[in-house]
Amino acid sequence: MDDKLMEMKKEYDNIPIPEELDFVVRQAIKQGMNQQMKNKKNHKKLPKKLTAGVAAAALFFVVGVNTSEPFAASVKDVPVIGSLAKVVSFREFKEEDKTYKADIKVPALQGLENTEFEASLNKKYMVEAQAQFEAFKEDMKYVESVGGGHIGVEGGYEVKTDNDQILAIERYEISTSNGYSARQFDTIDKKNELLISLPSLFKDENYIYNISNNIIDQMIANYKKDSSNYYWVAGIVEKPEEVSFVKIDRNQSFYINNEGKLVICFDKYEVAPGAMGALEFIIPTEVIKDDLESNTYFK
Amino acid sequence: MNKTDLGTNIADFVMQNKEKYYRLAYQYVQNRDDALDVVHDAINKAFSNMNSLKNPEYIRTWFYRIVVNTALDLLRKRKKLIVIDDEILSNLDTGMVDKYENVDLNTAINALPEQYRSVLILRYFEDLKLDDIAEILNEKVSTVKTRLYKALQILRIDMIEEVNK
Repeated sequence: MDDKLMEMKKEYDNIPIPEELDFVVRQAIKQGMNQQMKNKKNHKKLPKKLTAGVAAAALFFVVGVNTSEPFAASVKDVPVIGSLAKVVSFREFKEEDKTYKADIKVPALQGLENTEFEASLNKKYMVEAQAQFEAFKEDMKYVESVGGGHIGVEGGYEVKTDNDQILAIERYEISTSNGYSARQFDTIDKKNELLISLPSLFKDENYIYNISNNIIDQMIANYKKDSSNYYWVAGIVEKPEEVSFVKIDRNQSFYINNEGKLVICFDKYEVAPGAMGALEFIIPTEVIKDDLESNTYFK
Repeated sequence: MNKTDLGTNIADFVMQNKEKYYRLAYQYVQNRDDALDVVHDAINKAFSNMNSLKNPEYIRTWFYRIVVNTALDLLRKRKKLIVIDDEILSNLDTGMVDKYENVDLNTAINALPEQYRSVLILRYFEDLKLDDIAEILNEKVSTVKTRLYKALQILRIDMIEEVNK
């Protein structure tokens, strides 16, 4: 028996260590440290200096539809001026080597009346993509310095919604080597040419709780249906220290879909094990209707 | 100790012990990509739940627990985890052993129900004390002992079978 155990232990000790391990661990630590610096709640992966500038530029357009009563009321009557707006591929950052691969596509908006607004968004997308590419080059340098290895990053965008009223764009970044991924969303009101922020849709902060409770209900229902749908939420995980979703951030990622429903988005690892991937929850309008500032966008 | 120090502590600890935890993860999930995923997920969880580490001295058992739980999460997701109750298990002791002939030792361990597998791996492969294992698995020491005994019992039968062949 002891011999058998020794043999098993030997087999265990001989489990080969893949060369990527070091890189995967460093990446995870880097993410962890970054997250810690940015204070757990802020999930945005953009560098600080860049968000501040972009936020300032975008702020001007966000203040709006729902803050002034007459403005909101007039929305329905505005003729469709923004419907020419569309998304095009602007440019692509590429790096192609045997072991290092980067492919980052940058979206750009065209056809908005308000060219200043259009330019500010396009600039944001460009800066984001550049930051991703820079980060990739940094990683490449690091990997090279420790003797080489495989790394890859893919960036791109997807138009989630495009109708008379709403244009929603997702930008994503996926590491093809360690499974890390992050997404950003913009929901644009085409008629009024403004960027919709989550808090701007609601009268007060009550939406945070109503939406969060609905998401938790959905998670538990999914889990009950099939226990492989696993989320780090109270009611599913056994130990309190494993709970990582309590409520959404007031600026949680979101978009409005083609059916006029609010969709709340989470990055991979944000609320569930990595195997669950990035997650989206469609919030029934019933759940938020009392909190909404106006009914303009939702059905 | 403030949060940044704790973060640095975790980072250092993980860097120093990464191979150990990779092997542990691998023993559960049995393939390289999933094992890397488990290590990655576990580090992520360690940072986002660092408040649950009351005393930095316990970092070792604390991180073991995270890795084991993360690996089990993944297996759950992959549906390789078969929950076996005690009755079926006692059947395993007697009749169902030849199911494992022609398989290597690690496969025999993986065929063990999760609760037995964890104690066996932690005790014999990671050389941990029963107290520590109890802490990691959040069980009483006596429970760990019982499971370990049971695990050995199951495997012994298994292996005699293999020897006799």
